Amino acid sequence: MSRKKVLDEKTTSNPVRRNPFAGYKSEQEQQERQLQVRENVAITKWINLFNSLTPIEINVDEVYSPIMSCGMDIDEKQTYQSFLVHIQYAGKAPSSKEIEEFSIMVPGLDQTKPYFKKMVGLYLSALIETSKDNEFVIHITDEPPLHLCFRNRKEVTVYGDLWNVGIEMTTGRIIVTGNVEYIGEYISGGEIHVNGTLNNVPKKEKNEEFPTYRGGKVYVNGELVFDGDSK
Amino acid sequence: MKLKAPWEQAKQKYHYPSLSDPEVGKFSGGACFNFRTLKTLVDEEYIQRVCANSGLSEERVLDGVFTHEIGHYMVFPRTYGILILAAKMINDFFKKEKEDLQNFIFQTYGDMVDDVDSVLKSSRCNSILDIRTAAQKNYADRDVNGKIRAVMLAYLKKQARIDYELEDELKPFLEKMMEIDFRDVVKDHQKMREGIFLWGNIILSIIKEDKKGIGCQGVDRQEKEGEKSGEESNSADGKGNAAEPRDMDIKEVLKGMNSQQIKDALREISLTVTKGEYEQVKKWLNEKGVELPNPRPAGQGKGIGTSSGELEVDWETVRYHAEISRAYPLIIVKKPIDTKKNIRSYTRVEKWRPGTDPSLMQLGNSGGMILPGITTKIKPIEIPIKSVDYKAPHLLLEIDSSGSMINPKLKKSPAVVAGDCAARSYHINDSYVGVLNFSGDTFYLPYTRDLDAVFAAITAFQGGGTTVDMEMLKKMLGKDRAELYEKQVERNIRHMLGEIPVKAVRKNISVSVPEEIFTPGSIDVIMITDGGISNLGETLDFLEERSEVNRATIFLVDNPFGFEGVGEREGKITVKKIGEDLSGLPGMVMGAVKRHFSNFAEELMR
Repeated sequence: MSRKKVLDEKTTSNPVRRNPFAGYKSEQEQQERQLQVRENVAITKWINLFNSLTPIEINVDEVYSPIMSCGMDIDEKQTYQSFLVHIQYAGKAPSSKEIEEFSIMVPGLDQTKPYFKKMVGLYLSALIETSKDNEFVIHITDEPPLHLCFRNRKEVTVYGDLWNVGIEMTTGRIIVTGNVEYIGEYISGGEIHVNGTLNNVPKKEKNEEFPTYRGGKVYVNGELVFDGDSK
Repeated sequence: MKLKAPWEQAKQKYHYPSLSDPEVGKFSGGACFNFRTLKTLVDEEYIQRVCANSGLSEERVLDGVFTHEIGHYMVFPRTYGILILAAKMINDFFKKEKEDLQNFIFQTYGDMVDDVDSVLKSSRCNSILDIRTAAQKNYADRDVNGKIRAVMLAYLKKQARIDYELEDELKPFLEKMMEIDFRDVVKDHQKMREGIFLWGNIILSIIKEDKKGIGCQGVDRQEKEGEKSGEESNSADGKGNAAEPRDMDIKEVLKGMNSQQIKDALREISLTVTKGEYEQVKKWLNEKGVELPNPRPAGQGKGIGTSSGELEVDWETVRYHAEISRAYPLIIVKKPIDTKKNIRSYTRVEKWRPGTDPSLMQLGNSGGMILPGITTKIKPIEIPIKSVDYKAPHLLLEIDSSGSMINPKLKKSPAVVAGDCAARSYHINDSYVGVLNFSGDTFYLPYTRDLDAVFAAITAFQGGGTTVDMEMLKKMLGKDRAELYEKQVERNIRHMLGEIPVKAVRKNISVSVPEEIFTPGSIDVIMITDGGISNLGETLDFLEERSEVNRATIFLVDNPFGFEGVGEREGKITVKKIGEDLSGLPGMVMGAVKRHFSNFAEELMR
């Protein structure tokens, strides 16, 4: 028998080739157990409240009539006041532990919210103000919030870098373990300790009717760099 | 002890990771996974004690121990980057606590992440629960370590949907523990941060609530007791005291890391955290005595020369972005480029002299005899020819460093990362890269192979207005681009980087770049901008005009100002969008791959 004939017979006698994978079954889907995670009720309450809040805006051009148009911005004082009211109506005052935990959860919040950084700073300030505790720890783990410790009267330790801190602070103490760009305006008392770099050290403005820094003390790495109470 | 069978069994549960066989070590710990050597160590005495206490077979105990240890390699922490980041987070939150206690939180958190992943998988669940239950018998119920372990075991059993027993006083801690999400923390650092904070606080609360009032020293005391008794202080898998090898002892791990591992870990961290946190991690590592890699390459100066002065170069920032760019390689589509080549010719002859190659002799010309001076030999010569080669073009990278762009020194800049990715990808294809960094002023880096200089030029930030210097752009793409080298010496880039004033460099220099770089069409243009350019129309017109010769791509960076106009011009120019989270970069790679394959398929169809 010729070689060609043998090949022809092999191919024609078995036209349907055997599936080489016929002996295997498809893998069975295995159900994986789901992790049971309970919601942190206290923190969820403060997160939900934050998400429900809206900033109060102000037309900067109308107030300051600048040469260049700045448009709308957040009205810090009004927004802070509204946050205080909302937190007081939310029920039990936040504890220092809850506030610390909230500060850790900030990166997970909706960052597309308008004026997000200012909102976070003012909200944390309002939480601190309404709390019955006196000592607080704030962790900055992402982009720093703005206007943290607004109108502060308590003892706050901040771990991380900040842009500005302690606007309109009256009493209390703020310890920042990190770098700070500006000390908040209109500080009238209390102490701010920067254990890092303070890029813009406040200066005493003499002969000013409305000085930016009216009191308080600022320390950088333990060294007194500004004493607003001295004459 | 027969390690082989249980080891293979445990490896099978993780689909056979590439790990070397375990070894029996003599230490008071039960077992540990060494990240440096990727080896698992087990203590024979400990295994026998657990077998005796629990009644489990040796093979079963070893299976559980190995399943847990391999979990450290496969589940958590997996890499040095995660290990360092987790340790840094614990240090941030529990700075006031003793180092031993911080280490204890770190180890128990790592164990929990590892074991939770196992109890949710049917193939690993029983092995882990068996060894955890057996090891629990080693702890005294009333001591603080025993209490913490009891809560951990109850949590694991609850997640495995198995009945558990727990003292009433410990139940609130279990309830609090239920708020922690231990899954996928390697991918989600925010989840890890929250989990570590909650977990650490649970441990601190248990210590505080402990009726014996031993406080934070409880754990320390347990470890001391462990040294005496040989075991009691150890975790379920028996990690021992500080002198013994432990798998998640950050001090030991950091001590043994080499510079490449540190570099890799830092790169991994830089991809996911903000630049500020990355700097904090570096600072913390420095405090821990880790020698960080020098960001400034050897021979590079402090600044970079510009057309009208010198810009400061922050090598930390340069290195930070350059390392991130390693994660996003771009694909360069090759194109036909006119090249000048030399070919070998054997058409000429010369007289053969003794001492020259006899194999080239033409004996037929001298009657078969070797006659020096009469016998001829072939003279190989090289003839220059012009040809078209299919290869990757060179790159002219224009980067916008105006005030509207992110300052790379302050924050991770997607524009700089994209620029570094492009430069790296062209460089690896043997191409030369030139840079135009434009803002109010424009400075240039002539085409070079020095990648560090390219990165420096891309990262330099001017922060002024935004105008593309059209004259410079035309010069960089035109025939007269050789003139650019008169001021700046190629190769010896040290001159350019500020060590020697630009004026001191002699003018008549020979340009050491290949000639083909001056042929039209050998250069691709990539412009990275947010679209806020004052002469945008003129720039785009120019790039469109030259699109037949120089392929132009614009990487449009997301901006809050809503600059428009670039996207509409897509056609002759390719426009790619990059988000602030660098999300556009992998997409760009995929696009290039798809295009490459479709071109390839088209070629095949012809």
